[in-house]
This record gives sequence, C-alpha cells and structure tokens, in this order.
Amino acid sequence: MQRSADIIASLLFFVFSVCAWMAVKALPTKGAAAEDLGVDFFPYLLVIAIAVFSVVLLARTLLSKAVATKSPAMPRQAIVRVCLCIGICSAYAALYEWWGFYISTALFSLAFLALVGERRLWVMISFIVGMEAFLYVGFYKILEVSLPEGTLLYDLFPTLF
Amino acid sequence: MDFSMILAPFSPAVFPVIVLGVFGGIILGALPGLTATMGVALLVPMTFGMTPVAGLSMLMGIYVGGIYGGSISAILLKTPGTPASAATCLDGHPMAQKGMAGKALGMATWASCFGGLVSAVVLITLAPRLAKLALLFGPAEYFALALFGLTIIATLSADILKGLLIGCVGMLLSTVGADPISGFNRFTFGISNLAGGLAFIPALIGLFAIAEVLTQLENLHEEKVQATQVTNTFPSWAEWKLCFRTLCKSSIIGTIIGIIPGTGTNIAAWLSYNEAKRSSKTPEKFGTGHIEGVAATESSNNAVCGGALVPLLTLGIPGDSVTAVFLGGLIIHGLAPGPRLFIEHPDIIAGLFSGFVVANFLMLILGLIVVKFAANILRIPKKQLLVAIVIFCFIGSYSINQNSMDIITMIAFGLIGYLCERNGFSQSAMCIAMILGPITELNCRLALIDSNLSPLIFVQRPISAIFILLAVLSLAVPLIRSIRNSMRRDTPRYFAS
Repeated sequence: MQRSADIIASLLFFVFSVCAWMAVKALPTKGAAAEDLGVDFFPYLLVIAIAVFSVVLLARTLLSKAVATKSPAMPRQAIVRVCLCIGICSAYAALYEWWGFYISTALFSLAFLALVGERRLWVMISFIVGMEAFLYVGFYKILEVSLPEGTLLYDLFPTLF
Repeated sequence: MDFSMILAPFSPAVFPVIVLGVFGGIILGALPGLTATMGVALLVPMTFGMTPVAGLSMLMGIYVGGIYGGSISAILLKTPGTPASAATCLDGHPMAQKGMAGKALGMATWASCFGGLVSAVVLITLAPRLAKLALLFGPAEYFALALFGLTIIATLSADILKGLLIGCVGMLLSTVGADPISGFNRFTFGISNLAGGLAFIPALIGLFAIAEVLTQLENLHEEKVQATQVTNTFPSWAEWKLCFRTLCKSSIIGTIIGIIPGTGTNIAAWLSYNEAKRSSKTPEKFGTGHIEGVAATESSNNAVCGGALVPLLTLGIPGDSVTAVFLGGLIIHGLAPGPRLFIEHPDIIAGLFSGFVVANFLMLILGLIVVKFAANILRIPKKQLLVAIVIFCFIGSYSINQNSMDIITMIAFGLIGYLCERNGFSQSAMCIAMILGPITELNCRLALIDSNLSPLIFVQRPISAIFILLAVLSLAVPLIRSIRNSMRRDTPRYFAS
C-alpha cells in the first residue's frame, strides 16, 4: 500500500513539476536590476528540485524490496466518507455567500451530521439551534466577526427590498 | 521596553480571553487528534477585532493549554491528545493503571507550568538581546538563516526525501503572487485575488484543521472512557525532590529545542525522556509508571513554547508548526516579526511576554481544576465536534477578507494536507516552507544584488557562513547516517531517515 502510494505520489509530483516548468517559462527572465537573478530564477530552481526529488523517490521506491506496509489500506466506507465530506464542504462554500451564513450552515450541519452517522433528529436540531445561537452571540455580536447575510431572499423576493 | 504594558494581560479586555484561550487549548489538546496547531489556526482570524496584546495572548493561551492538554488523554487513555504527549504515555498510563492517575495528571500539570515558566525566563531575557544582534543581520544572514530553517524542517520529517520534496512544493506555492522585488505577477493566471499571493491563513486552516477533520472521518470510533477517579493531584515533597533535577534539565532541553527553527514539541519530549532515563539512578523504573518520566516529557514539551517564540519574534523564523500559524496572528494585526518589532512596538512585546507568563500560571490553575473532570472532557462527542470545527474553519477563512476565494483555498489546502498526512509528507514542513520561501528568495536576491552577483557573500560574512555550514551539516549528517545504516542492512533505502 505504502509502496504504490509512493509511486503514485512521485509520478504526481513529477507531472506537477513539468506543468510548473511550463508556467515558469512564461515568466520574464529579467529582474528589477541588472544584478538581479530574475523573476523566474527561484521558481526554476524549485521546479528542478521537485522533478529531481520525485525521480529519486520513484527510483528509491522501485528499487527497494517490498517492506511491510506502514499504513493499512483505507476501508471503502472511509474513502466514501472523505469524498462526501469534500463534496459537502464544496457545496457549503458555494452557498455560503449566496444563501447566507445561517441558512447554509443549518443545511451543512444537517448533511455533515448525517455523514458522520448521526440519525437522531432531536440531536441534529438542537445542535443546529445551539450552534447558530452561539455563533450569533459569540462571533457576530461579541467578536464582531462579519458573517455573510446572503442574497437568497433578495433574489427570490426582490420586491420586498 | 514599556513596563506599564506588563500589567496589560490583567486588564478586563485581555484577562478573560487568555482564560478562554488556555481553557479551550486544554480541551482541544485533551481530545485525541485535535492539536494546538489546529486550535491556533482556527482562532487566528477571530483575533482580528481584538487588540494585538489580547488576540496574541489568547493564541499563546491556546498554545500552552493545547500542549499541556495532550497529557490528559495520554495518561488516561494511552492515546496522546497531541504528538507532543506521545512520550507521556510511557509512564503516565502505567501510573493511571496503578490507580495513580491523579498523581500523574498533577505532575504533568506542575511540570508543564514549570517548563513553560523556565522558557518564559529565557524568552524574556534572550529575545531582546537576540533582536539587537539581529539588527546587524543583512540579506546574506537572513538568507542563510532561512536556509538553515528549511534544511532542519526537511531533515526532521520522518523521511528526508519526502520532507525535501514537500518543502520545495511549499516554497514554490509561496512564489505565487507579485514578485517581491520587481512586482511582476507570477502564477496568478489572470486571477486578481492571487496577486497578493495565496491566502496564508486559509491555507493554514486547511492544512491543519480541515486535513485533521478528514483524517478523523476515516475512523469515527469513539474511545470508551472509563470513569476514572482523579484525586490527590499535588505531588509530595519526596516526589518534588526526586523530579526537580529532571524538571530543570528537561525544561532547558525543551527551550533549546524550541529555539532551533523547525523543530517541535515531540522531539523535545523524546529527547528529555531519554536523557532523564539515561541519567537516572533507577532507569529500570522508566516505562513502568515512574513519575520522573512524566515530569521529563511534560516539562520539556511545554518549555518548547517559549523557546519557539524566540526565533519567531526576533527573526521572523517560526520555531515549530504552532508558531508558524502564530505568525499569521502577527500578520493579521499588522505586525512584522523580526528585530524591528522590538523597536517599533516595545509595548506589544512587553504585553506578549507578560501574557505568556500569565497563560502559564492560568494553565496550572485551570489544569488542576480540569483534571478533576478529565474523564468527562474525553467523553465530548466527536461527531458534533467535527461539524463545529468545519464551521469555525469556514468562519475563520471567510472573515479575514470576506472573500469566498479564501474558502476555496482552505478546502484545497485541506485536501492537500490530508493527502500529505496519509502518505508521510509533513504538512508542517510545507507550512514552514511557505513562510520561509519568500524570506529565502528575497534575501538571496538582495544579497546578490549587493555583491554584484557574487555568491561568495554568503561565506564571507561570518554569521551567514555559520548558518550555511549548519544547513549543510543538518542535511549531510542524517543522509550519511541513513546511507551507512542502509548499507549495513543492505537495502537501497538511502534517503530514508
């Protein structure tokens, strides 16, 4: 498991370095002064280093004898949970400014609690109510942290505003 | 230094937030998987509306509380709350099994406070002097110092090669945005939000908090916590006498380890444990529930806190991952860490030093109260806590610039951090490389402009030459050692540390 993960990681880093190389090529070579190394010097250096280290990592992994797995394979259920979490967080990010903090957070909390296996509705509702009340008082009122109010209501009922 | 600011942490606007920080830190640290780094990362943006002394003192409270809190689960569950407390399991848990949980937790609390205060003395006495010396530093010295920090981070990773690789990736990511000398935009791909570089705080929150949530999601199994009676938390006179030498020695080791850029609490704890065992008259007792073992690890890991603040405040170089995040707190308040901080804001420095001492005393008081209910803390439901953490991450990332691009950065770095953690690439190495990258590049280029592109400037100046030599040694020594070891084992894993 660790061996194949290292092979994949080294290949990904190598591809990343190739892509970065192409991006660095678009940079101007001249710096602010004649003695300046230039805008592209450090990025080039780092891209070369990443490419070299990824090749060495690949070679080391391929040449090494199979060793005992360091990290056990992840159960399928855990992979699904992690992927769903990324999906829920992305959806939350998309709705955050549009639907506003309170509505999007309530929906996010419901989805996330369901994801982690919480099935008791009263726990879910009391968590959401308690959390939002705490955030409103603690963050919005006391710490004066700005939370997005959203434009959902305005989008739905523009005549009300 | 403005001595009137020494009383600042006792003001009604500051004291409650330090109490909150220390208490929150202890709770976060006690819960396995939730680290002090994560706590500081989550709360950095919340300090935006506070005064610098209040906000930064709260972060220091979380730092010291978080490092200490890890010992609670290490002793009661044999599961370290933070990596810093891994060594505490060795003697702390056997003590709890013998019915001496109170003694172990009590010694952990007293030792943490002791270590923290020793490091505070070093911080207060050494930092202003080092800052004065650092005023003499030019670009060549700063470049050499940053290079030394980078090599240390790489070599301290579990695998040197992976540490170097992820360090380079972190440095490359730090080049996104306007070039520090010419102002030319690099890797912005027409996205105006990237002109100022990748949003640093959201990246940190992603690397340390979102990544941790994803890791915790892999295994949602709740640890069964036995109802443990915690009584008699005051060490006896005989125990104090037995542990005093170890406490002093471990606190000094922890402080020194903290000062070395890129090191961390777990290294300090293991080093101190080994030293305490080596110099003990009864080394055979270590690992069987010996109170000296708890004193060694807990005093040293908390001593790292003050030590790590020395290079951060004086040179702008973080000592460990928490101080790397702490740097974000300084930036939020418009403070540039480095020697000029001591000249331009002596009042804030005095307040910070005082806040650090107060945080350590509060850790002792709150710690002795909290350990009585330790079992209850460990029963906090993980599921609800994870949801709350993600919500805090979103608030923290969004609140700095009110920009949803920052949230996307946070999620992306969360995924990167998670994949790094899964595959043995250190997130701390990446984070510190992202901080040291711009310092390295800017100072290297400035030094070369000064010297008409002569690289000899880095070895002609004595301080710079020393740091360059240390950087070379810190890379070469573990490499040679691992090559020798692997040749002995006849395996080609030359670059494994």
